Amino acid sequence: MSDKISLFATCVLNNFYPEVAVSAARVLNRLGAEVTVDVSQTCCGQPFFNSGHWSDSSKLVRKFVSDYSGSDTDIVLPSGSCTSMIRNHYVEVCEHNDFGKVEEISARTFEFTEYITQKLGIFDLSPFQDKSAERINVTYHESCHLNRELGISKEPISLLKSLGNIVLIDMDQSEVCCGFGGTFSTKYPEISTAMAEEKVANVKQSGADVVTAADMSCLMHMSGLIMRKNLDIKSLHIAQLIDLAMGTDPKK
Amino acid sequence: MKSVTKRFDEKSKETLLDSQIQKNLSGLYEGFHSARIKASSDTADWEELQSKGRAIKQEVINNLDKYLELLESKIVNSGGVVHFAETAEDATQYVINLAKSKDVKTVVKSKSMLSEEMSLNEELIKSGIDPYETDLGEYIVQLAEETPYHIIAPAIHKSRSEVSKLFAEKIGTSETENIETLTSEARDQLRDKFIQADMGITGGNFLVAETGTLALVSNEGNGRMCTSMPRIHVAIVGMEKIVPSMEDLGTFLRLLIRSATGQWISSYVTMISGPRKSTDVDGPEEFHLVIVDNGRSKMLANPQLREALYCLRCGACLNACPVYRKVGGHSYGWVYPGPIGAIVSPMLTGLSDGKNLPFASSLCGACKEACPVKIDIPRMLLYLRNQLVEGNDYPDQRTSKLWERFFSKFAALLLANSKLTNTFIKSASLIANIAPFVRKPFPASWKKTRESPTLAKKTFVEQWASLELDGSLRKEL
Repeated sequence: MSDKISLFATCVLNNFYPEVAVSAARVLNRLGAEVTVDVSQTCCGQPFFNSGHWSDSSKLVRKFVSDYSGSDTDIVLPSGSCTSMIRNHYVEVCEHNDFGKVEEISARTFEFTEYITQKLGIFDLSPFQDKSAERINVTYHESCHLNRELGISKEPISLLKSLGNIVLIDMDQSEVCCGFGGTFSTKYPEISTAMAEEKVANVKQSGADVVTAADMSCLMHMSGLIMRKNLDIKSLHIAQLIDLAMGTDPKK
Repeated sequence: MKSVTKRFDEKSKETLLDSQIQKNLSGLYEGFHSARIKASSDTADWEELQSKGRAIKQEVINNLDKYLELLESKIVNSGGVVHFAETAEDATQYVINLAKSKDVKTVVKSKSMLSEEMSLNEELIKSGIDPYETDLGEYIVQLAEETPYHIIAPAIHKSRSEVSKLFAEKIGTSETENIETLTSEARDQLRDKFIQADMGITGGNFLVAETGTLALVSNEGNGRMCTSMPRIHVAIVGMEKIVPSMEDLGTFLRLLIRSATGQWISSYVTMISGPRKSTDVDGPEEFHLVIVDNGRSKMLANPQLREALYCLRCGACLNACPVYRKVGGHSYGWVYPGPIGAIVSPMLTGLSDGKNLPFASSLCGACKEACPVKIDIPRMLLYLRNQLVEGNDYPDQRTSKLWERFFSKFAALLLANSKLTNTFIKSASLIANIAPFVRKPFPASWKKTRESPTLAKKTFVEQWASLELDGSLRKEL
């Protein structure tokens, strides 16, 4: 059976961090999935939903439903937050006669690490690893929607731990929000920044060289402050870390 | 209490700059929050208890009239008086009329957030009656002429040295950093008041319908003194605080106490069923129960918000909330702060005035996770945001600006059409070649404290056509 998937990059990755989506595609490919991309993808509609503009959000929900219904291909997103939007919130804003379609689509929509562990059944990435990959000290931030709305907490950690080149360092309060919260970060910049300050202080205190997460928007927020503070800490999506650990194509 | 939910922006900014308060708040997570996690994980059937508690609350709230009638009849049978107050003013008037008619000069109070809704102390003073808060935290807040900062820890924003200075100034004690000494000074002050008082006013954590029992949870014993020493006991309780049976009370005591302080059980659980009986050796001559609505029926009437009435007022969502831990209690501008307050306060005092509260959340979900009865606070915050922007449930309360709705509509229409989106992004990218700031399209409010991400020269979708997944595009660390 071929594990065919359709990768939904999310608007943040598509426009700001295409390299992360590339990493996600490459990793999934190497783990045995046949990766396809619907090039008409834009945004899942969450920014509109979370800021109260539900009628606008529903336009994007309708687009997503029409783009992805009528197929049995699994949809994979390198974002817990956008996955949760589809799985938990689409029913709130979809058109009534789309209920069934939304449920059907939600059932085959997966977050990146969830897909690898639950659908591909891979918890140990060491067989796929390039043994010469550089050692990296990494600390992991638990993205809120991934952790609390999807209940995915152990999966990304076990994937990271299985990689021999990654030294995973615990971070204090890794489960506390980074303060991004979508438009919250610009509507209440002082509160949002104060939360990020605390998060970044914990990242710094861990002593890791890299902070990772399964959601780029959290990393975008943290790195925004990390760069402003000129700290020598990199922010990499978990897909990038796995991609790096896999090194060059084993076929070559 | 007069609502100042409108001032959230200003008050929260002030609090963020107050390093002493920030320091005082910083202990909440490792303190109360961690204690709750320990207590709940040590409780073998915690999740079962939560579901049970939630189901009971659902049953009670959906059939509130039935349980209120049962409760009333039981209390009246045991010699108590029940008064239903539609508003806070009505409840206050009842208490004041009663106090005046019974020649009450001094009142001792145990902690009650509802009495803050009523501005009860202020009104008692206006009527020439002296109220004394007897919970230590409330006593501190009363001396400081402030309002509670937290549902269960009203003086959490004050350090021991601030309390020491306050005591020195207000009650003339000598300054000390020793908490035991400070506590015993407060006890000395309060002992006389308990003896003097003609009336004890308490809140109520639960009302047991089948037995007509008021249950009070406390750690200082002041609640029991207020209910047993003065000749009149008045309990003011929100109408949602009913539980059907004594057995249910057991469930809720576990849920409440473990979620509030992380204790297995509080030092005191006081149960009152009416005034002193002829065979009792002590207790009040009169027992009055004032059941207060004050806007709660508005939440009851809305299926989207009804579960806010399941709240046990344990404060767990405040401790869990990273926003509360930064902006503190007073920023929220009314009696109930934190995540549950962001729903309850606007609903009880005016949604459009409190429009900032539902938006001042990162929607991280820590509140829902902490809630002993699994109240879906983020869902209700989203609902209120939608109502404020474009909803039809409270049309006169909408606050969104025309430009905001226009911008949102424009962006959604654009994104709903991939061809338009691609053209738009390509044009932005071209413009960025001569106006580089276009590549960093984040607003000034972001850029003031954080670097903005950069728009990619080629989107992922554009790259996809030429992408080979064999490692040729590997990016170096």
